[in-house]
Amino acid sequence: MLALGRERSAAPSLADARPEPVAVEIVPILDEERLPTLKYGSKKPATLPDMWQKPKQIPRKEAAPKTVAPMPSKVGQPTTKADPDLPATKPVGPEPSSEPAEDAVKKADETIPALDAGPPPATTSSGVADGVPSGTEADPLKAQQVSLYRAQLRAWFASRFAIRGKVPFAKLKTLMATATVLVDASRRVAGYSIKGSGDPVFDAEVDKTLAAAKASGAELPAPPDKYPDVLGSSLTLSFQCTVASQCE
Amino acid sequence: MQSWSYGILLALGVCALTGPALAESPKPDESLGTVDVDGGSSAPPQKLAVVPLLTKGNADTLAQLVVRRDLELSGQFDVTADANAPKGPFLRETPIDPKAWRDKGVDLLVRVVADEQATTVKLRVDVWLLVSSKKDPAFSRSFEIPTAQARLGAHRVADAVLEAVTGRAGGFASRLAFTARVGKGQQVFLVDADGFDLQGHGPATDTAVSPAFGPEDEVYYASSTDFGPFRLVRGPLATKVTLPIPGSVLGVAFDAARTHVALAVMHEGVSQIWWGDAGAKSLASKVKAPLANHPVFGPLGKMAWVAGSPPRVFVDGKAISPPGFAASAPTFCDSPRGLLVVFTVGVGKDADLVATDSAGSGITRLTQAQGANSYPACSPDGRLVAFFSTRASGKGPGLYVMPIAAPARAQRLGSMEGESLRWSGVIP
Repeated sequence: MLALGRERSAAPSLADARPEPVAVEIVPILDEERLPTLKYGSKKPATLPDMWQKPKQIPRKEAAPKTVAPMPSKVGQPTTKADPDLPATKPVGPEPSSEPAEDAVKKADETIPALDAGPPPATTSSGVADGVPSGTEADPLKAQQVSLYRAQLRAWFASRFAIRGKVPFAKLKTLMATATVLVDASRRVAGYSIKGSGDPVFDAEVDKTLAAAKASGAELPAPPDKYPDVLGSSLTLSFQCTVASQCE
Repeated sequence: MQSWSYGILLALGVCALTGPALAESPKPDESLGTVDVDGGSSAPPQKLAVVPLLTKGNADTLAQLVVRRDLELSGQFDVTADANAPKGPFLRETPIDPKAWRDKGVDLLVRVVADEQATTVKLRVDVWLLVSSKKDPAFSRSFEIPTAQARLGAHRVADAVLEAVTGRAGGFASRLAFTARVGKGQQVFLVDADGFDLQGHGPATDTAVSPAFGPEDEVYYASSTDFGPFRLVRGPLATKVTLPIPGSVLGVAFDAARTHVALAVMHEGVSQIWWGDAGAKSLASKVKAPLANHPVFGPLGKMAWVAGSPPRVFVDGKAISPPGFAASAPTFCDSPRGLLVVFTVGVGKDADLVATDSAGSGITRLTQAQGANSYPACSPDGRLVAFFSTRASGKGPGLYVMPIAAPARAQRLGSMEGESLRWSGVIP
């Protein structure tokens, strides 16, 4: 390359030459959508996805619901598509009629579990003065960190759960499936079992989501540095789609 | 008989699925509980405020400005303006009123103070979780650092706040390295994570490429003098590092612990990636592929590089960038979105940043229709991606940083333009 450069510098200066038409080769730069079609066998189009769009945010749930939402009648039917590598687990979803109100309160508080203002606990065990009797975490900082980590896991799975438009929203908002996911030491999905909602389309989408997560080998977000054991060898998920703007 | 046998097998199968396995099933972590996956919904970021204290001295002012700026850049919070604070003034002695701040919608409150001593600066940070009505801070930490490193100390304060609140320390006590044209040469430059303290590093008359932070925080890079081969050098004096292999060094990378090095070396028209101890005294060939270049270490023992024509990004031997596009400059981000590989993809005459998981699936686009965006470098904490952009809109071309989980929050650090961007923490 250097030698070539020297040869060029030794050539007569163009400034001395009379201006004459010079033929040049024009190599068009193809636009992304006009790239050659992929060879047979690939299902991926040679286009990039659009840039990330800010999702519509749901309002923070400040107040706990006073009543327990009715659960779908078909919750509790386990699917038979569980991963063969994963030992079956007992149903992990809440029962339709026996869910205590306190559990529903905890579920509704997505920001900081068990730290809403409430009556002082009538107990002498360790905890925080402004916690709630049913709270499970005595360390506010840990509760904060675990809450954020839970949100990261939620987003990780939600980004792969493409149920939108596949089930009418009136029905979709009542459906819920639970899954137990095995996580290996490299933070990858190693297996899973599903307790279905009873709706075949919804349950198939949950199965597809987890199967794809397992097949991709993608790594889950890392747990908090101080609490690496928060992400154990298994993870319990509940799949729903209850926000109209995101599910219809 | 046959149906009876099937019945027994079926019963055994059901038993295997539901009976004995129950006791052996791993118990989910109780702290995490059940993760509610609600299709597409996302919670808003928490609102964070920095108490607008009346400052005492330069170090105090610097600490407040740096910590606030770092928390804004982190993209983890909605940092509220000082004008939204409750009625002041706020002195160091003024007790914190959690209710007054909570009434302003603030979830997290940070107070930073810095006192100059004879040769040091004492920094203290307190964090309140306002969801609790406690008047005592949930987190407090003090630092003492030489006066000349006051800015670095303030970055460490911000990192500590992020660690307390999110569970992962921030990556602001760090530096970025890149190369840029200076006259006829190309020099290495270093800059703080927030875009301050830009400094040239090494001779400006040579051509430097691929800077990387190595053992003892020293900067290693490949340098060419008078169009000669690129040699591995280190430090501001470009001290030569002797290699056991011949060829021209085109790429340099160190792992996070800085105990191993990877080099891309071109020799007799063949490019290879070599791997070995950080001193590069013993190297083994890891990759031998056409135009193999830009090695980079990742977490969980992973390594990425670029090879082929058109160039594609590989992770541990598997091509992960989309076919048909020229890809370059991969960087690993162990981010809140999981372990991602971010790289540049040529799109027409421009270039965009995309992210995939380490197996190449789940591709997402981080930039679009904003000029050429190139040379991504992930922050040490995995939350942020720095990159160069030629965008004409907004704040114009320069060095940008974006939270990988919220690309729309990209912010410009400065007008620097260059190549071969790397980001690494400052060793305490």
